[in-house]
Amino acid sequence: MFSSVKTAFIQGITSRSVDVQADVSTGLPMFTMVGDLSSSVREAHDRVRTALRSLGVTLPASRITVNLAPVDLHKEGSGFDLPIAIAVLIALGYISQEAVDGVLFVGELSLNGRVNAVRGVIELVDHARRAGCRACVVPLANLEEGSVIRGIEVLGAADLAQTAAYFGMETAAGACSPALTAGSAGRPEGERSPKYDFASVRGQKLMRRAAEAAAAGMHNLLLIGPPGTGKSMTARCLPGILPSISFEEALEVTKIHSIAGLLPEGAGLIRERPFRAPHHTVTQAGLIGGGRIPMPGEVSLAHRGILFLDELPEFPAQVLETLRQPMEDGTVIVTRNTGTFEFPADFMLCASMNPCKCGYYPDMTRCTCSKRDVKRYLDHISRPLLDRMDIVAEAREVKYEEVSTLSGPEESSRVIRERVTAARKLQEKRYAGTPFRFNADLTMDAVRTYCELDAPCRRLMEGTYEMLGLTARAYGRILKVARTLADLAGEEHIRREDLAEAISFRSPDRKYWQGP
Amino acid sequence: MDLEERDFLQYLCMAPDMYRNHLQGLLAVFGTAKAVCEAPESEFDMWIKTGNRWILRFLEYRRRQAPAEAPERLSRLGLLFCAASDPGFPERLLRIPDCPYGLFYKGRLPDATRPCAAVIGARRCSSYGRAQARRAARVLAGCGVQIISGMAAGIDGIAQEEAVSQGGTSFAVLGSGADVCYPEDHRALYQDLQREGGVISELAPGTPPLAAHFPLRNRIISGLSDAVIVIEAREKSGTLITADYALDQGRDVLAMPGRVTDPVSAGCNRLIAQGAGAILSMDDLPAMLGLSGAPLKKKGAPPALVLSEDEKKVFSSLDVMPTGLEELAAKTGLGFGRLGEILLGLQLKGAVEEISKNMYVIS
Repeated sequence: MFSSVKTAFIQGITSRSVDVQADVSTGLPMFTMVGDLSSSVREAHDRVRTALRSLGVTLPASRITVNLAPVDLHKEGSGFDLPIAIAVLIALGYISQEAVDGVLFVGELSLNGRVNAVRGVIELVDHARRAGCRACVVPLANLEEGSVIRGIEVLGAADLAQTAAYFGMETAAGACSPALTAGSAGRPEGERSPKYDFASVRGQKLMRRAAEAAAAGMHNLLLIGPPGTGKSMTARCLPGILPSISFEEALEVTKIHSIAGLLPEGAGLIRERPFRAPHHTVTQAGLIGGGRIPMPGEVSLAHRGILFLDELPEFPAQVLETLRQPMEDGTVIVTRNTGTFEFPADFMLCASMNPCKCGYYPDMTRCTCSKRDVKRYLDHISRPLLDRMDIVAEAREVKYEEVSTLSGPEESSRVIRERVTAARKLQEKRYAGTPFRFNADLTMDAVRTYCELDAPCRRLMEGTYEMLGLTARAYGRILKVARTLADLAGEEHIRREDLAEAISFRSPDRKYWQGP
Repeated sequence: MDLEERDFLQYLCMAPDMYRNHLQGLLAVFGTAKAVCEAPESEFDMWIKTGNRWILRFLEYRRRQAPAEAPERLSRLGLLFCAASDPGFPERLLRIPDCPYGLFYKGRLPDATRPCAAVIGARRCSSYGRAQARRAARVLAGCGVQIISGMAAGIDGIAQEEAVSQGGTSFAVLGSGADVCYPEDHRALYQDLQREGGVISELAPGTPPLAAHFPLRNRIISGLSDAVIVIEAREKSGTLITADYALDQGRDVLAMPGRVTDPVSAGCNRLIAQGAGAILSMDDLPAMLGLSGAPLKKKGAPPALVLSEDEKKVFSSLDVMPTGLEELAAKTGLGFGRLGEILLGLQLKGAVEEISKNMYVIS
């Protein structure tokens, strides 16, 4: 008898439909599986056979053929076990074909029949919804995650016996609960307070201000300063001051993390902006995404959040170079022999570095580096990457009075976020109907339109341009940041002080490392 | 063309590894440079036997290059040679104990009728040191003093750069061949010095800048000068070696005092403790050097700065030591935007200098 069960699997960041067909016919007793299977899928028949025995089903001495269609797709992953088992049960007449019509199954089986968690459930459930299925059966451990998708019934399966019973099989075991656990659709969780709060960053007014401006305009941020001055701490606080994540964004983020297998068991929708801090030994594939079966890299895991590169010059120059395309396009394209995959990568880059090898430059009474040492240290960072850093702030060593709690409490992330959100609203209004979303997105032409300077500002800029030896590109960046600072202040026009402050955030020019 | 003794000496000075002590040894044995050039190779056995590698290189050089070709080779390199016996040789240098046999140079040699002062200091100097080195060079150049230094990174280069840009005269003594620009990023200065003074070396053309060459050239720096002015020096530094030479050669040593906690001033303070003259103001330098009269180019007093209330507040919080933006904000109570605006204004007025990004000093 022929049976057919729907399932799907993850390829890159998207999912593909697979039809699991099973047939039991006379012939030599065999369990054959066909359909361009990877070894993890091919192994399924052993798991299925044993798991079926836990239901009291012994495979008859006949020829069982399982086909995974379409055949031209190479199938990877462990989610095929459950649909194969169900298809075999239908083929053997234990469950009727009609019972499973319009139901998509995913799940990995243990030998004892338990259904184990799989990666990418949120995308698979969404796939089922798009494909017009009425229900989707997922491992119980992934139920919370799957329930995020609305408009489809999501059922959590604890074991195979329970699933089979739910779809009408009279099990020998009998005693197990027949009901699959239904997911409660998309409960919105309360906003959690951020893990790192700016209230605990002492002093460092300039760096705090830079972080606020960066968050408000989605500008990339570079923090330069001696070791132990709170650069990493500031970076970790950034997700807490970005506007709270919207449902659509959360869905994208959760999908990516689910596919990468990084979602903690039992977790639902990710409600915080991601913060990724890869170690400087990260490879190109680790950062951008890749592998034989391409998986999202750090840039995609940081989608809608922060990618933090601590000790920027320690990263191999080649690896940093690969960041340029995703920073430009907001997506990253990975091509392997299994296909070409596009991963989303719309993140804000925050990097930190010491000014030199010993970390104390330009304090020449403490810096032990020669001019050449300093140059060599900096040569590791590619100029084009440095050029994409809109805001550069220096951290300095914190005074005792600031470390000790003598001075009053610092401003908390919550207060800063309110200002950032207000500034974002202004940008949203201004850029409605344009391809831009934030001030950081502006092109050189758009800078001329949206960051107009009045006469006093122009005079200040004219004088400064020569004095500081600015370039046209630096000029554009300064205007974008000035626009953000004006937005933070709720001003319609850029004021002189916004411009002056933006100039203090400019990228360090030749002069900075030339030596004081 | 008959070659004179001087030409043979020039030929010998152009040999690789022909340091002063090597040449001294050869001349002691053979008597004249001509004899060294013409002696059969067997007579050099005593150096070969004692394992002197340089003599092999010298013999190789002697085989390949003829003494008669030396002047042409030198002019191809754009270099000039002045033997100690030549009339133009700096008189001051003749009086030091181990006077070089000759000098290679580009540009010219210091003018014997005008005073010479060495302005030297640390490679890794502070911004304060930079500013004062500039000031010293400006004052001295204004009095017509020829400034001698080593064209090194830090104080040396800054002082020479300033001297040249102020229309003064400056000479660099190199620790490499005079045709080798070291450090490389001083190429512009190297060119300027050839025009507004000279680049001098006793080492053979093409000699690389080895560490051992620098103490040797330091004796020439002090030897060419009437006085040595030390702006900033660390303990155990090349600058202090120069100061030691200066004392041996009977030159005045003047040092700029610094804070006791600054490693870049430790050497200077030690020199003062040992009896060097303390420079209390760069404007005192002409008097300390015994130069009579006012500076040649007397500049009018700088126009008085007209500052607003806020500008005054910011300006008074600044110092000769660099102050960061954040510290300024704390001192003045102004926001970063307003503060940045004022600082840009002060910079445009020339009252303040940004020595490194967001680090300010009064200028």
